Amino acid sequence: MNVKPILSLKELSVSLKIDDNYVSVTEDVNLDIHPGRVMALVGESGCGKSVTASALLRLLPKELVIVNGEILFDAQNSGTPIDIASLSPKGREIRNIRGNEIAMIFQEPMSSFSPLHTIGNQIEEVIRLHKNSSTNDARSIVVGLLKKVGIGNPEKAVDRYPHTFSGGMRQRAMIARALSCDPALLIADEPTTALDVTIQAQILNVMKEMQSEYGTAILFITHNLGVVAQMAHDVAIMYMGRIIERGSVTEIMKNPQHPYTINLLRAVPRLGDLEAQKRLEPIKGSVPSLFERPDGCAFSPRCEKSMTGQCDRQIPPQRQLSETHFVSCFWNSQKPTEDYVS
Amino acid sequence: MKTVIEVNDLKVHFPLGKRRMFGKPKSWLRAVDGVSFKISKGETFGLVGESGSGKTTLGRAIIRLVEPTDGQVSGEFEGVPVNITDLPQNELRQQWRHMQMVFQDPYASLNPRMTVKEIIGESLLANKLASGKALENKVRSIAELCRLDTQQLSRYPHAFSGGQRQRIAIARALVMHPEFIVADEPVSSLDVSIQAQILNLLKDLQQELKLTYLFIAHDLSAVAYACDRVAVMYLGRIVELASTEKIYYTPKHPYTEALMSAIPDLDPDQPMQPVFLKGEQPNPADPPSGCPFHPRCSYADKDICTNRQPEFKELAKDWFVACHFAQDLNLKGSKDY
Repeated sequence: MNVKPILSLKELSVSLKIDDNYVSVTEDVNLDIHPGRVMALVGESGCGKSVTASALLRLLPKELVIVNGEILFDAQNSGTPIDIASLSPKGREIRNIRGNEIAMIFQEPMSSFSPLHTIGNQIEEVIRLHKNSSTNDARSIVVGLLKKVGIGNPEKAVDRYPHTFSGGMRQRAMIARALSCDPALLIADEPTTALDVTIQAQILNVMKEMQSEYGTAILFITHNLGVVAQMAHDVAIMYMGRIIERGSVTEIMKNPQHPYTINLLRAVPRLGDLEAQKRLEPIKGSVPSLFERPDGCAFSPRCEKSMTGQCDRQIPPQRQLSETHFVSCFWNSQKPTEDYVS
Repeated sequence: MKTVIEVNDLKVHFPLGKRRMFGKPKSWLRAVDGVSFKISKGETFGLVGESGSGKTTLGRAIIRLVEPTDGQVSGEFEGVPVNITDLPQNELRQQWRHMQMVFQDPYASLNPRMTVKEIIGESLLANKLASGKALENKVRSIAELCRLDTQQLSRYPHAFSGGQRQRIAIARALVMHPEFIVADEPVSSLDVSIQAQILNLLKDLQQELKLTYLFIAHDLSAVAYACDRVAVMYLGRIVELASTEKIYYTPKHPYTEALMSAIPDLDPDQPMQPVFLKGEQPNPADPPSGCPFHPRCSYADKDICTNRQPEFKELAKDWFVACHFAQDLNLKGSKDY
C-alpha cells in the first residue's frame, strides 16, 4: 500500500497504574489505518480493544497511562503527523481533534446522548464548536445529516428528545453526530452489539454508505467475526493486549495463521450444515487476568500448538507472510489446511 | 414424542398508566398475545425475535415467574400431568422442582454474598430434600457434571469468570433434577470462545439427563446450533414455527426471511444482502391493525393484510405460519444470501 496511513500506532503500550506499580494492559500495539478503509480490531472482552480506542483520543481514565509508543495522526496527509500520545489530554490541540478530525461511536446508544437536550441540539453543539457556524446553519446541516442516515421526517426529529428514539434510531443519530464535522477517522466501538440483527444490518449499511460518500477511515472494534467479514478491509486480532495477527480480511478469514485466530473461527456456530450437527470446538480455559499474565506468548497456556520451553518463555517475534499479513507465533502452519468460513 | 409442556393461547398483558380505584387501566401492553405450541421431551425449542417481541415474558410466563393474563400451560413431569396455570402458590413451588431457569447475566443472577456451594444447594435445603453430608455430596456431583472445579466450591461468585459463573447458574438449575429448563439468552453475555463451551455443555447435559430446553436467544447462529425447532416471535405473537432447517433455509413468513437475510456471513466473499424492514418497530402498546407485521412487510396487500389478522395455521406437517400469503410467497433462506 503506497498511500500513507492516516493514523499509525507505533509500539503503543498502556498500563494500569496502581499506587506505584504498573500492570501492562496493551503492549507494543502496531497498527496502520489508511484513508477510505475499514480496520477491524477484534478480540475477546478485556483484550485491550477499547483501551486502545480510548488512548487514540486521550480519553483514558487517569489510572490508565500511556507508558510507551507513538500515535501518529496525519489528517491532511501532509507528511508531518502529530503525535497524539505527546499531547496534553486536556489541552486545546487534542480538543480540536476530538469530535472534529477523529470522531467516535459508542456501544451504548442509550447512554451516549444527554436525556435533557434534544437530538438536534446535541449534534448542533458539535458543529458550532468546531466549525464556528451560526445556529441556523448548524440546524440545517443537522437536518441534512439525519436524513442521510435514514431517520424519517428529519425536520421533526431534530426537536425530539433521545428517549423518544428507538435503539436503532439513536445509533443512527450517533453516526450523524460523529459525521457532522466530516472526520478523517471514525472510531466505532462495538456499534451494533446492543442491536437486533435486522437493525444491525441497517446500521452497517448506513456506515458503508457514509464511508463511500465521505471516504472516512474507520477503526471498527468488535468481537463479532461475521460483522468483521462483512465490514472490514483489514483485520487485527488482539489477545491480552497484543496484536497477534493482522492482515487483509481475506487473509485473516480464509488463511488464518495464528492458533488463536483459527480457534476463534472454529468456535463460531455456523449455518452451513445444520443437519451435520457438528460439535463446536471451544478454546479451552478462559482469558487469564491481567495480573496473572502468562510468561512468553500470553496464549500459550490455552494453545494446542504450544511448544514447552519456547512458547512459555519467549514472546514470539512478528513474522511477515505477505505484504499485509503479519503473525506473531512460533508455530508455522505452512499452508491453509481447511475451510474456516463456510 | 411425549409432550412435556403444552401452551394454549397464552396471553400476558401488562396494565399501562394509573389504575383508578375499582376501574380498569387506560390501556394494556400485550407482551404475549395468544401463543400456542407444544414442546416434546428431550428437544430444544428455540425462541427468537427482536428485543421487545415478548420472548422473555413468554419464557417466564410458562413457568409462572410472570403471571399469565389468560390461556393455559400444562406440563407432564415424571409421567404426572399438571395444569401449571391453575396451581395454587404452594403447589407451584413444589412443581418448580421440575421447571428451572438459567438467566442471561451470570454477573447479576448469582448472590455475591453466598458461596458457590450455598448457591447450588439452596433449593435443596429450602425444599428440605437434603441436608448435611447428603447435600454436600449432591452439590459436589452436580458441580462435577457441569465441569466446575469442586475444589473451589467454598469461594464466592466474584472469584469466577463469566463462563464459570454461567456453569454455576446451570448447576443451580440442575440440582433439583428438573425435566424442563428455560434458558433465557444463556450465552449472549459471553465471549465467542466461552459461548462454545457453554453451548456444548448444554448439549451434553441434555443427553445425559434427558432434559428439555426452551432456548431464548437473539443470536441466530447460536440458535441454529442449539435448537431442534424454532419459533419466531413478532410483537407478542409467534409468526412462524417449524424445524430449525425449515426456518433457516426455507422460511415462509416475510419476517423470518428478513431475520435470516441479516445474519452476517463469515465469508467476506459472500456479501450480505439484507432485506430492510420499513420503518421502526411498532409500539407494542399500540399494535398495528390486521397483521401486526404489515406496516414493515414488503409483500403486504393493502386490503387483506391491513384489515385481517392472519391465523396461525399449519401449512405443512409441523410447520405453522401466521401469514395470509404463506402459500404463495417464494422467500429466501439463509443459504440463498
